[in-house]
This record gives sequence, C-alpha cells and structure tokens, in this order.
Amino acid sequence: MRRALTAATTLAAVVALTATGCSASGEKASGPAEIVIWHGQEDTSAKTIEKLVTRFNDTHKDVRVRVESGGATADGMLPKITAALTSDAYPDIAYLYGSWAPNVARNPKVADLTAYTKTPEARWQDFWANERESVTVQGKVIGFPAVVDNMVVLYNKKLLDKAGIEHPKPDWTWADFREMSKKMTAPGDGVFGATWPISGGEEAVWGLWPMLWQAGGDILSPDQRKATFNSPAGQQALDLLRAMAVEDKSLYLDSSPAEKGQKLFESGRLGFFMSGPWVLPDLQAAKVDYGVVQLPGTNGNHETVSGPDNWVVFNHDERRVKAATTFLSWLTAPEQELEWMTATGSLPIRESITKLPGYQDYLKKYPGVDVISANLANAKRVRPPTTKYPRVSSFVADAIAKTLLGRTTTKEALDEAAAKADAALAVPGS
Amino acid sequence: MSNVQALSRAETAAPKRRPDRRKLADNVTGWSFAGPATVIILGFSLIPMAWALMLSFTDSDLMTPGRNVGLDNYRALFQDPVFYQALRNTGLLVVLYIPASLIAGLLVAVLLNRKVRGIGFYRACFLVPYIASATSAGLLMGYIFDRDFGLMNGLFVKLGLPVQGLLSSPSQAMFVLTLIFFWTRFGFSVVIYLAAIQEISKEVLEAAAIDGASRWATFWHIIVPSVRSMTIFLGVWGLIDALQFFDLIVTTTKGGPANSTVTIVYYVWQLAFSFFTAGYGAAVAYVLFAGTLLLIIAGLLVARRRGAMR
Repeated sequence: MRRALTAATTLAAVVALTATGCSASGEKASGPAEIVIWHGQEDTSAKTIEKLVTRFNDTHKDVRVRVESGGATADGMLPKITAALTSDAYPDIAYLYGSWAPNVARNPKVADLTAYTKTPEARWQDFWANERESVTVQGKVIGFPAVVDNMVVLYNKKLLDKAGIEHPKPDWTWADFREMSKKMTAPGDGVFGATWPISGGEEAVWGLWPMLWQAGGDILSPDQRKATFNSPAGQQALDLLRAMAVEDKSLYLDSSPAEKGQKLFESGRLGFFMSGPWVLPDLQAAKVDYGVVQLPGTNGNHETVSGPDNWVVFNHDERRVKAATTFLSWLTAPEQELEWMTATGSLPIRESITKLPGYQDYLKKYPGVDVISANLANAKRVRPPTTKYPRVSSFVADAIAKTLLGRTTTKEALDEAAAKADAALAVPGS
Repeated sequence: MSNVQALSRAETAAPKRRPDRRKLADNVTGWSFAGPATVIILGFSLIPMAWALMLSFTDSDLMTPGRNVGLDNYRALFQDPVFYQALRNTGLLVVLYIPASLIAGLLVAVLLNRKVRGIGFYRACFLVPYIASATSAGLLMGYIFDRDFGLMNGLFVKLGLPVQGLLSSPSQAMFVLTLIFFWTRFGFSVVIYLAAIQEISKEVLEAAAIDGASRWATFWHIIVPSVRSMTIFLGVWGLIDALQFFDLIVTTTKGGPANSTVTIVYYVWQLAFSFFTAGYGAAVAYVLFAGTLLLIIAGLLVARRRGAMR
C-alpha cells in the first residue's frame, strides 16, 4: 500500500536520507574549492571522464573535483537531480539532457553563467550554435555544452547490394528512402527496409521533426502557445511513414523502448536505421558492414535534428560556481575533448577541435563519423525549449503510433494531437 | 525522630519508586526495540505520505515550490482521458490476474505436493520467474512477443494460425502484458499455497480417504477450505501488486502503443518525472491509494462474512 505512492515516496525518502549528508560538505573558506560532479556515464565513457578528472586534480591546486556517477545513468538523472535539489544535497555539476533544460532552469539553485560566457576565456562562440541555444534558457546560460549529436541514416551495405540498389548519395530524397526500403524488404527472410519506434516515448517523435522542418513546417508557433505540427508539412511527413508502414509494409514498427531497432540493424534485419553517432562503437563491435549518409532531403533541404546534452552548473556559493566553470572550461577545451571523443566516438562540440592534428586519427577510428560530424551543419534547430514539450511530445507519439498501425488517417491523428497540445500549452505559467 | 520519619518515608517511598524505575527501564527496553522500526516507518512511509498529500494540493514541478491550487488537481483528474485509460488498463489487469493467479496457483501447488523424484527441481521451475528481475523478464518477453520477429508469432505461423499484433497492437498489448505479469508473479502463489497444503493434517486426509472421498471431493471439501486464509492473503497481495504494476511496462512498451498499456503507477511516474506535473501526479497517486484501501476493506469484509456463514 505504501508503495502506491512510489514516485513521491522514493523522492521523499531520498530527501530524508540525504538531508543530513549535505551539511557536511558545506562551505569552506580556505584550501582548494571542492566540487562534486554527477556524470551519469557508463563503461568507457565513465572511465574516460574519471581519468580526465584525475588529471585535472593533479594539475590544478585550487580546485578539487570529486566524481560521482550520481547513482544514475544519463536517462535517470532527472529524477535524481530533482530529489537532490529538493533536499539541498545537489552536486555542483550534473549531466542533463538538453530537453530538460527549460524545466531545470526554473530552479533557483541553477547557476547563471551568462556573464562568464561573455569573457574571452570561455571561447563561447567556438561551441556550435545549437549547443549554445540548448544550454541557454530565456537568455540565461545554465551550464556548458557536454555532448552533441545529430540524426543520420545508417545503411547495411550487404542488404542494399542484395536488392541491387546503389548506396544512397547525400542528395537523396524521402521518395528514394521509401523506394529503397520497399526493395530491401523481404518478409520471408525477416528483413525490413527501415524501422520506426511506436512506444510511448520521445524516441518515436524526434525523427519526425526533421521531415517536418525540411518541408517548411514547425512544431509550435513562435510564441510556443499553439501547436503547428499538424500543418500540411507535418501531414506530408507522417503520410510518408504511414505509406511505408501500411502500404509497403517496409517499416518494422518497434513497440519496445528503442534499443530493439539497433539490435535488428546489427543482425542484418534492417536496411536503414535512423540514429546517431553513439551507435558507431556498437556497430563496429557487431562487425556490421555499414555506411552513413545524411538524412534524405525535401527540395534539397537536408536539415536534421540534434539533441545536445549539457553540463548544468548548480549554485552552492560563488567560489564553487567559479571552480565549476574553471573545471568545465578545462574539460571542454579542444585537447581534452579530443581525448574524450576518441575514446567514446562522440562528436566535436567545438569547431576548433576539427582543426587539431589528432582529429584525423579520430575520424579514422570511427568510419562514418566524418559524415555525422559534417552533418552538424544541418542541425539548425532544437526542439522547442518549453517546459510543456515533454507533454506535447507524448501526444505526438500517440498520433504516430495510431497512424502507423493504420488505425486512423494522418490528418485525424495529427489534428487530435494538436488539439490536446493546444490545451496543454494554454495552461498558464512556466 | 527525624531519622525514623526519614526511614519510614524511605520505606514507603521505596516500593513506589522501584516500579517507576522498572517502568522506565521497561520503556527504554521497549523503545529500543521499537525505536528503529518507528523511525524507519515515520521517515520512509508516514512523512513521505503526508508530504505527497501536501504536494497534491499544489502545482509543483519539483523544481519550484509551486502554488497552492486547492482541489484543482483532483478536479482535473476526472476530465483526463489518459487517467481513465490508465484506470481501465489497470482494472483489466486486476480482473484477469487475481482469479488466474489464485486458481492456477492452487492447482499447481496441489500437483507439486507429492513425492516424486526431482520434485525440488519442478518446484524451483515455478519460482524462478518470480525471482528474475523485471528488467530481464521484460526484455526477454519483449522479444518473444514481438510482432515481426517474436517466437510467439513464429509458433502461430507453424500452427497455421494468423499472425497477431501482440505488443504492437493497441487492442492486444495489455493482454500480453497481463500474461507476462502472470508469468512473473504466480510462482509466489504456488509457494504460499504449497506451504499451506503441507500444513493440512494427515489425519483429515486419511479420514477422507477411508470414507471413500473422491480426489475432487478431497480437493473441494478439504483442501480449498483449509487454505482459505491464504487465499484471502494472496487475493489482497495480488490486488496491491496488480494495482502497482509498473516495472515491466518501462522495459517492454513504455505505455504504448497509443497509451494502451499505461497503468496508474506508470502514469504517476510520467506525470511527475516526464511531464513535470508532480502535484498532479501526487493527486493521481492518492486516488490510487484511496481506491486500493477501499477495495481491500471491501474484500476483507466479504471474506469475513463468508467465514461467519460457514
């Protein structure tokens, strides 16, 4: 019975437990400033960041960084940080997805780094534009860019060859994507041209946005008060997917949380897989003969979607905020970033990294990453920075699932989702 | 004189003081046993529950304190289609799971209550799914019940049956999840029933055998009534378990497709940690709490009345 309040109870339990813990690590006037970072990384990424932190501590006398995983992966960081903020046991730095920034920024304990980013030592303009946009909420900079990615199409060379199709060229279109998928589909062999998630999460939704943007549409109105994704551009985007799923049956509809699509691609069951740089190490381990190409275009526009992640800084006192910026400036400096990228396969977060000599070795280590890196230029927009986005996204996820399963028409599904989104957006506040 | 007085005072006071001291000592001993548990119950249950109740009267997103909105969260609840859907999905689970787990649990327990070679192995087989983590069970079942690549549809095709939508079908997904939930949980009913059956005294069973009772009569007139208290316990336990169904959903469908597998607790989690409406989420949690409480009280009353009639 007590568990009936699972979410709230866990949260409050964390509060009760940690409330005493935080006062111990209170302010210290002398000695090095001690800060805590919750990195949320796993495996290679975790080891790499810990190695970098050790080196920072060895070379910097005035700041001491303590690494904690935060007891959570990147996915689970939001509930953790929420509990920590409520109970005053929060770290100085935490790894948080860009889509959470608008909500997290509402907390008064989030630091304001706006002034710092204007100083020359921050080299702020060296970060890509969409990263800067993602870490800035209503004019306030709340941290540093941590990781950037974007969506590309990975293709299985063998399946394309088997179907007698030329490998996709950068100037390909969505019509090409549909036709090639259809040709590669072989129900008898359990092979599908491509996949689309239909689970209830964001993974089902974010792939639709570049199609919408390319066709001249947008997700919300500029004042973020009205849903506009049900425009003709949105219908055109979802219609293509519907045709693939319902008419061609070339789309494997993945009802599980996203990972199954990747496994199917790794085992040669999918011709195309829309994903990002983070899958490259896995694909190499699985020894898939893959190629990488930018998203198909609409009238020559190949815009993609990206989800930058941030190192968000939290305010304990001025000295610790300053220590956090010192550390993050060092961590995101080109030399350290290149080491991190080489170990994990993630993309350059600063333009200047691409000019380092070691950058070429990195490109060689991860075949195809050059395409994804170049595709950063196509990542022009981020998802709407509003606290209501997660809710809006859940309505769109519903609409996509219903449409791809052939339960309703594209227009009906999108109009219904837009009506629900309008209602959610109309609620005042935030 | 004063000495005598003092003495008598001491004498009269002494017997009075001694029980006081003993009482105090008893209290200290008592509290030292009960104290830790009390602190844990207060800290982990009652205070969080009170806090959640307060939360349900605000529009808190857990990032900012939130404003007091009175009963608005509860009012909004009754116009929320997803809440009703979650209620229906959870209700379906309860209605299907509880009778199934009681009947199957008792039957399997009867089957397992015999002296055969390797009985320990058979018993373990039924308990393994219960011990397995929800994550691994969810991932495994996600593959088995996949529409296009799953074992289940492979089997259907071999048998000449039409391919089913299973986890990809809004109308079938909740049934599939109920089946998975049943598979992971009913081992617990088996264990409890098995223990209860083994407690039935041999004399009663022998007497029945001598009187010429058939197997069915023995089962229906001796075993079923003997394990009645366990049936009530398992019914209540199963109800709580089913109403709080959450973990398998995260690893199989995330509530999809099209909200067809959103349960109440999954919705609470979504509201609090995905949609940043913790106040509203707390209100949903409290409605679930009240509903569970009422259902259990009603169930126990019915069970008690039946017991009195016998």
